[in-house]
Amino acid sequence: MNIAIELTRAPIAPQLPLPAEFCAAAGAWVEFRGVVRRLEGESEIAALDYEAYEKMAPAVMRQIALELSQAWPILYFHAIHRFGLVPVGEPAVYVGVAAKHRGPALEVLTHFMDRLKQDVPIWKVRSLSRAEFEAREIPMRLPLAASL
Amino acid sequence: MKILFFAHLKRLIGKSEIEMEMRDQATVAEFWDALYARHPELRPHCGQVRLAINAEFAGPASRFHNVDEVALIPPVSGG
Repeated sequence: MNIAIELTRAPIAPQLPLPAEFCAAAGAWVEFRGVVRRLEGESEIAALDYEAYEKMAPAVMRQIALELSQAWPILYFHAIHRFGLVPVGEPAVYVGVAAKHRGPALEVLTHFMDRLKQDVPIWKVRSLSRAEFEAREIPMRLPLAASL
Repeated sequence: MKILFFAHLKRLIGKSEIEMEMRDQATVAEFWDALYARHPELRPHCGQVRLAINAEFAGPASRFHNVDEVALIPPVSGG
């Protein structure tokens, strides 16, 4: 059993293939992406800002994955949580679980997401409107524009 | 030791961390008393807040020994 955990400010890759070493035994490769939705209540937003206790969050995610892997037979577990600004439509969280059969993989995925939302020290601290989001991007664009 | 604040608690006191001294083997109740004495504005907001001592969740019977940092963990909202 292999557990991979990441906490990152970087966008989550659109495709995360199952590592080749698990392909012989895995008959199920279940993936979940939790994405930022445009509608928050009745308001349109452009991004969510996530804050994380960087020292603790990956350790809690790993501990949850470890406990679940002892309850269900899985082969591989990969979780990524993003923090900082996450634009609408992009994943804030990714979970991939490989197992010999789909049952344990689906169980572990569901329970991991439940536990993540209870115990992992990550918070949505605010939503940004389109204007707020674009205003925050301007300082990053200025050096590029100045160099042209 | 360092006391870390996150999410709305950070906004409430206007900083992400403070320094606070605690006696060795202090109880969790003593910690809250000391923190509320310094930041009484936190009291109404800490009913559902958990403590993490050195980045591990603490229980009501935990003691403060060789503590570098304590984090106030308000209800989480990741995912």
